[in-house]
Amino acid sequence: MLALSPFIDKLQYAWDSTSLGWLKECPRKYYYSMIVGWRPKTENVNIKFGGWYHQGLELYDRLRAEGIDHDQALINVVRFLLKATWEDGKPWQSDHNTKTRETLVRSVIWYLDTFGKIDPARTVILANGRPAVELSFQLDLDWGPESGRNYILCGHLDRLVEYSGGVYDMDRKTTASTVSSSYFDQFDPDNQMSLYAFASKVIYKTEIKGVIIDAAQVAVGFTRFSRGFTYRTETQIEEWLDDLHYWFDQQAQLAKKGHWPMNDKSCHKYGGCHFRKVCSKSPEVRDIFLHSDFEKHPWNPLEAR
Amino acid sequence: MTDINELFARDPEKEITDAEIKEIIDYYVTALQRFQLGDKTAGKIKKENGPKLGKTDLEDLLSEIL
Repeated sequence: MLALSPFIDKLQYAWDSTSLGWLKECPRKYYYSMIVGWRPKTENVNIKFGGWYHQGLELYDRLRAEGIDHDQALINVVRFLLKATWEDGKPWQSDHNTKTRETLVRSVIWYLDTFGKIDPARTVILANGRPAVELSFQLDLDWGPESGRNYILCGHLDRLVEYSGGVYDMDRKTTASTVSSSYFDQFDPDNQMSLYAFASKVIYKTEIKGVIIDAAQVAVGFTRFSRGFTYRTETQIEEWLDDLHYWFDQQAQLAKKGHWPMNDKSCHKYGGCHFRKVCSKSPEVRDIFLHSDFEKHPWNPLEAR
Repeated sequence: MTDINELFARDPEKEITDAEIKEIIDYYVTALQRFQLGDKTAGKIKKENGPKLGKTDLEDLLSEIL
């Protein structure tokens, strides 16, 4: 089923952490990514790899919650990955040096060998008897861009777990960088984790202690895992929600004017914005660079996984 | 034990059994143990190279092209 548009004209009323993050980083980045829908051609590999990694682990969590033992669940997961990465009668050919079919299978097997059998974090079983994994959410806020329409916050929670006497949201990430304690510092404060902490509290009507981040560093010869934690108090979440008024108003004003200025202090952060090469060109030739290095894949926060 | 490259090359819809998938899992679990002992290339699969061409083979090929 086709998802609704997250826009009324160019005014966005349905938000997820990705689109909100683009706006917070740079209005021009938001315009290119969200309004027009440009994606770097090279991003495709990361999206595919990350998607399969999450789906494989989600399948494992579901099978285990159904009572299937670790060994059989792992066989089913590897078979799923082999099938998912079999495209047009042949194995998926990645042009990425670390994100390949083999490193995907390896990363999932190594993760589950590390955390699968003896993970102290156990999947929460919902009141309907189903495991709390890969849950898409849409939350209505109590104000909106126009009368009769409220803003909506959307997203996908990987897994809700019981850990050390508390309930946590768990988010799994893959990265090419070394995962040290400074890697986890980026999540506090962080837009995505604040949204997830808020959403978990609302949806499950339970005290959520925070978010557990299971990070996988995927290298050519190995995948290394680290587990980090980020916490949000009630008042921190309220503050984050209150700030949304500013950001949503900002988007409405920019959309009204049709002017999306560059934040040129953001271009070089996090390894550099992928639009840097476009924005560094003279305005009259930018379209040429967009058409050569990017393709259009509109992002829709309302699309359920 | 079947070669790991050969297992990855098989059509997963019809050419691979649970026992063979278990071979892939065992291969990587053993590699993980080697990685934990400090081998940072443990998880890399060595790709099979084609037969090496000798000088005579190359000369034959060139003579066909030229």
